[in-house]
Amino acid sequence: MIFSKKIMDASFYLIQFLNGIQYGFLLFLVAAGLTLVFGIMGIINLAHGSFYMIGAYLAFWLTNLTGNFLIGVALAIPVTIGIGYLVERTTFSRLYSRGHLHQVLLTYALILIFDELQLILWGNDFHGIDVPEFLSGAIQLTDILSYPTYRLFISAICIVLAFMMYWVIQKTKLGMMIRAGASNREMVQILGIDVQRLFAIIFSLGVALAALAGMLAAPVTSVYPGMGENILIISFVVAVIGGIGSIKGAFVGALLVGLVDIYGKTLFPELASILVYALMVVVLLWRPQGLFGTAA
Amino acid sequence: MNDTILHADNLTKHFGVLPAVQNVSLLLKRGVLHAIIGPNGAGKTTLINLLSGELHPDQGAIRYRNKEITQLLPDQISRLGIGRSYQKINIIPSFTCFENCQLAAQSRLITFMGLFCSGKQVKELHERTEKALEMVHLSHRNKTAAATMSYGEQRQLELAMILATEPELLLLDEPLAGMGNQESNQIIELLQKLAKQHTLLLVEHDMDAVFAIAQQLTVMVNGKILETGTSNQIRNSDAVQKAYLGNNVIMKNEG
Amino acid sequence: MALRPESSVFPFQTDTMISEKKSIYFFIIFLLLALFPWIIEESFYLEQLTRILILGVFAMSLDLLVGYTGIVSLGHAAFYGVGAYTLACVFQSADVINFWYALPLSLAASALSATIIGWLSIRTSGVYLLMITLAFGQMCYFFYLESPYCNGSDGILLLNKPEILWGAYNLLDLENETHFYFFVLGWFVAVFLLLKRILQAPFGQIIQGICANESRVRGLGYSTPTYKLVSFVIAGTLAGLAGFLEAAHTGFVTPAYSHWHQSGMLLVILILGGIRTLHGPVLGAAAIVLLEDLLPNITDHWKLLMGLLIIVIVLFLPNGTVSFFTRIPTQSAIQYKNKKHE
Repeated sequence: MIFSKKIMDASFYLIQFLNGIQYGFLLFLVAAGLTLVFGIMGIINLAHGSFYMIGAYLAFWLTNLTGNFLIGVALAIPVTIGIGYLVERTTFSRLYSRGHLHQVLLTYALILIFDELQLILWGNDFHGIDVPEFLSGAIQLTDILSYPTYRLFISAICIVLAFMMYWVIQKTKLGMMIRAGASNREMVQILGIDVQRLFAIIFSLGVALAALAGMLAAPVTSVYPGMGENILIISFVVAVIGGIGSIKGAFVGALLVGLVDIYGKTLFPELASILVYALMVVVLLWRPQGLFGTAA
Repeated sequence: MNDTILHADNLTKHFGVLPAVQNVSLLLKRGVLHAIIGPNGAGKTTLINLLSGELHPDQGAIRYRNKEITQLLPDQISRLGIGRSYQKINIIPSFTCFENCQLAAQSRLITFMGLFCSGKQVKELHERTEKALEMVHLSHRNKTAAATMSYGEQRQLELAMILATEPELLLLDEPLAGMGNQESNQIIELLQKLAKQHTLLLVEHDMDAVFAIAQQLTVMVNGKILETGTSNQIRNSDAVQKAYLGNNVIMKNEG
Repeated sequence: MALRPESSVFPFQTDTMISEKKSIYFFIIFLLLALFPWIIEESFYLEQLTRILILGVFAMSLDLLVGYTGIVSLGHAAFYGVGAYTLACVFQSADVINFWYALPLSLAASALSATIIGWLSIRTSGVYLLMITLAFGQMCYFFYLESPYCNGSDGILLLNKPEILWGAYNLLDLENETHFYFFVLGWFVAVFLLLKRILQAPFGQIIQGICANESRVRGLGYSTPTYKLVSFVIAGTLAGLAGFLEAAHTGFVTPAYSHWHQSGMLLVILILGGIRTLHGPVLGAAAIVLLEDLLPNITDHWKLLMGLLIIVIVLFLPNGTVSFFTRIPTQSAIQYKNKKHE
């Protein structure tokens, strides 16, 4: 009896671990865009969570239209890139020389607008999304515990994306500009790189990543108003823990936050929501510039 | 040893793996105008930053009036009586000339963090500010926004700000940089006046000026001290001529 | 950063004159505010004005931090919540709320939390500071949401108003709306004058110096972290006062008091009214209260309009709407005081 209970505990913790990692991966997608946009463009984007929400709603809408989740996602991605480009050109491009206060205010206004547009277009209800059949099953871990295939699918996609980002940043010309921009923003502007285009590309990519995270999360969390808000604050925590501007930091921070959050919820349910913030405070007291950030 | 005001002993500071200052020792005597010269990147500004607490050395110790100050912060060092100026103009552009100077003066006068201020304090504050501005001939610019003043005037204001804190030792990082001839002569005159009541440590590029006014000179190259001595000793030092001035330079011998 | 013109441009308008003229304006406005219950007798407007004044206190406290000290905090609502919840938690089942205990308790609690949060926050700067204050604000929010003492998202209902007793005599009957209005107006004027005094004192000049060039101010011998912390604590305590007033006014305290949207909205108020002035935040608060009242009549989706309005203001009036009409004073009035001594 005792033996089997131990096994159950172990696999229970394994499941929590997998959940934590999967949550962390999603956070990474959102935080990567956030940290890039800040590191290179010097913009604090409070509206980043709204793109996560927009992604989820687009996935919901297009899945209903086409009848297939994967097709819906495939169609939604270019739309989000377009939205990102549009927002960058119309508003953010005017903010580069402004202080943090103005950036905070403008992106806060964007949140109000996006939230309201979402209400107008899709209303106030919760919506579920069905995943394709081959992803909707579960993998049996023990007699009583199983793990949903779709969550593994999310993790797999995120790992692939993380590797792609690593490749783009380390090996391509765009990546070189991104790295240069993250370590010395003024330098990129002096070097004769088309900064406008670079910023527009980075911003659109960041938006697409956040939106994709929303699309992937939608079948698990369902789609609801204000879903971008929680993820926004948590991804800020991730970016700050990792060091703003550092993709590597965002990755480590995301996994850390994911695990702390999931284990916190099972081990200390009363404190769960506070734990993540406490983690950030501890990290900042130890290293004010974050784990992988460079000192200002 | 009574006339030693500051003693830097064997200071070393690395930026990453790059040594900026290596085993530098410096002895400043009370009332002596001491100048540090050397090519760009010799570590002069780093040395000033170490002395003023902006940076802390990896090794070595700094003693000021026989008190260890190596690890103190800039505000603590300022309060001990060491004032400094910066290589780049460092004032508060949105304040007026008077306010900049007043800000400096009141750092020594206020109580309760300046949340409340008695009339007597205000009067004293005003007097001290006026005195400092008069020293540098800026009284007529009282109400001008600091940002709109000329470069030379901003330099003068910086000096006034230091003076308003009533320091004993002044660390001046290139006070003549970027100045025209006339402005520069004005400042030199001022420095000579100051040297009568204060101890000055000067980092400067303008050789003529330095040799004219400094009583002691230290030559730094690549983060190390090459030579210390009077202007004549420095002029006649082979090491200095080779390393710093190059072989082709013929030194003026008068002065 | 607005620069002061050369004094010679305005040879006849000395600082003294400007300042005295301003004092008269403020006196007239305060007088009008004091007479308001007799000018307009409709209780709806009195209620709105009470809200504006409370929000004004809250916004002025943030301006001390953001506008004058240069600490852009996105967690200021934390202290608003602390002030409100201290009142609500301690007195939720009490029959009588003794004002003389309740207010000092609220202020002490918000001052204490501001000291702790401020001490931790000011070690960072820039965007990190913004984020760490945001995190602290959210921590408070979730604490109120999940703590067993705070009744979760339902919040706490206060059945009674605080009683201000002097011996057996009731100084102000806060159940009476007009009395409550005067109670709030008194605090509003007190906070306004206190902040004005602080900003004119050397302290005000020092924090504005820190805002513009911290390393320089430090080099002059000021322990800048201490000044930033004191500014943070003053601002936090005044926010706690605003929270206390709001809780007493509505009798209803929910975690939303500390939600980061509250902090965000407060920054909007600052920029709407004009940052780095004391009257600006109050005008901003008035504008927001009125907009929140008017816009829903135009459309259900008034937040859309609000968002667009904020964007327009940020892009085209970076110093706030007040910057349209007044120049922004960067100068403390010490100098004007000095002139008197000459």
